[in-house]
Amino acid sequence: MKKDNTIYMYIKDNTLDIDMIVDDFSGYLYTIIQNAGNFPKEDIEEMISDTYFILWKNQYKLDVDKKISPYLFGIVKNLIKQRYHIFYKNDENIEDYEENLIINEKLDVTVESNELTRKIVQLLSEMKNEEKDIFYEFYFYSRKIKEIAIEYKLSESTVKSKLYRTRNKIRKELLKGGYSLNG
Amino acid sequence: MDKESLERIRQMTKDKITIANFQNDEGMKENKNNKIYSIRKIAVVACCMLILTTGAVFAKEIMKYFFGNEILDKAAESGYVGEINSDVVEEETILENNNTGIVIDDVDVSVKFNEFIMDDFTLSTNMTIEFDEKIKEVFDLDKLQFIAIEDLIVIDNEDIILFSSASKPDFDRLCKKYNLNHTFAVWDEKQYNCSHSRNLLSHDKERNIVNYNITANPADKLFPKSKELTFIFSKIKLEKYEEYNGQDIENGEYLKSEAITLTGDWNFKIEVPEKMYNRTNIEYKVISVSNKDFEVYEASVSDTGFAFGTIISNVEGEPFEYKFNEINKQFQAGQITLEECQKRTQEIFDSEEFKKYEENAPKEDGILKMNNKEYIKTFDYSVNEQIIDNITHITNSKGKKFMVSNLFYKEEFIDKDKYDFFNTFEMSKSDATDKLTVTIIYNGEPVYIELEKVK
Repeated sequence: MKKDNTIYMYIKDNTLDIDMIVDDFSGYLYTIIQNAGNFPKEDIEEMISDTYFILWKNQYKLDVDKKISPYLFGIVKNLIKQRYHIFYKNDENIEDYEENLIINEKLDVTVESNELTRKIVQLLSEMKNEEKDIFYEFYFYSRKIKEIAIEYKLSESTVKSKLYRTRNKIRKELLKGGYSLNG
Repeated sequence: MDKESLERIRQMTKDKITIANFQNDEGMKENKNNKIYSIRKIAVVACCMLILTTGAVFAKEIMKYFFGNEILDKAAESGYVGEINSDVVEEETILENNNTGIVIDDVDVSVKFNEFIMDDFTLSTNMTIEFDEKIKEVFDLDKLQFIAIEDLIVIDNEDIILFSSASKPDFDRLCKKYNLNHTFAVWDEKQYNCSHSRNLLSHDKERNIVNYNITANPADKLFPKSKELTFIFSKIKLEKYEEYNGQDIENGEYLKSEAITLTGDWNFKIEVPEKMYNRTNIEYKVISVSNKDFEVYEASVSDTGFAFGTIISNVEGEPFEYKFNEINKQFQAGQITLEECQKRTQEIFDSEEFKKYEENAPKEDGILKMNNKEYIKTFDYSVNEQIIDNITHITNSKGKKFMVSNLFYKEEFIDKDKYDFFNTFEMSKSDATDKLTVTIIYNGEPVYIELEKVK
């Protein structure tokens, strides 16, 4: 962990800057999970990404003036407990985080349907690179069509059409696989 | 924690957030009571079980072909299939467990190509992969859920790359090894840009056998009439997901994934059956069109789909889109450099004509307002296979309706007000009656095109 800033320091364009959080806290979370038990490397990586995902999902419930690490610690502790159904043991001082763990109780700490995520990731991996990249630009970086068009040297309509295609392909494949699409 | 680990974490997080945003937009959720799903799932499981429990020979007698795709199965059943029965290529591979890093040398892996289908829009092949007993030391085949040939390149007798799933380093390595003079991701006349699907058809834990299908569809041009194909690859990846502490795997929560990669060197040459390289389509002519702006330029049916193309005039769109499309196409085909592409795009932005357009065009937050218009409706959430009247479809004279299949499609402006629509439909030769009606849902209204078979 390079620094322990407040949530406020990780907000960019009114949303959490996940890239920056990944850079700053992955080593810290890796050590916590590694100390908690003999997890395979892939499990550790999965739990860390789940931690960031849960933090992102709850971003509007976070107190921007509080430090970010207790939130991350609370989430990761919960994930470890859920995985092994045992209480967490390591060298960290849990009391330091007690207050923030109460905050964490308000958070939704579930990760829904990893299977659906895997299915969509698989579908995306089968698409052309440009379509996939545009999908991430739109849905992860929340970039506007106009910005994507400039970045990729495409017209706005082409970007929209590519997004539309990708969405349709995913919808259609998911529909075939038994996912209801209209909520 | 190493750099690769950090990048994997970043990518996984990115995937989860991207897909959560997508799901939110779509109002999507999993519904296990979905009827279509249940029927399809039962059918697939039943077929796999037949293969598993009765052996390959008996399974073939019960269900001759199984491509994991309805329209391809139908084409195969009607005779449009090549029985390859290639030699078995056995390789002594290096197995690496991607999670634990455990490496096992000399794991025998045999690959054999079975059935094969190729036409203008599809290249699909079934193959059988057999692993030796050593694989059981590190991987439980019974739990196999995903298989991928990570660096497959398919090249034809004219040295055209029809398909590649290889990353740049793998692509460059294989091209060097096989003396192929191609550049990664340049979609010129010597290389196709494809989407693809990979289907695990069945696996037999006892005999360490996996049946696998790979299907590719071109995105930029129709597949050529190749006479011979070479399949080269070096990496087979197997992946499984396991539940934790007895939690239901169907709930998808906390699945533990594990993957192994087998590295070898496979090279198959396949003779394309004559009926495929000499393939002909049944042509249709236009009898009537209910909208005079529609000019049909393609209406033909093959063994894997119906191809329909029309130019639509007087379409209200963004007047510069076709210019950007043209530049982008030239760039993707390797005809112009990135610098040239950027220069030409900028020239359009800087032109007086564009500035004039921009001044008067509707804006949102200071930037040009998005044109969200969906000109042709080909998909709708509420549509199922029985009720497709609200989307673009084809009806044969028996009243059977067919949706678009997106095997090959184009929807783009080719001039200021001219729009090119091309798509394939899920109708093959066996369902193609003498007369057909194409219903295009254009700007929310149906346009009817009556077609008649050319005899």
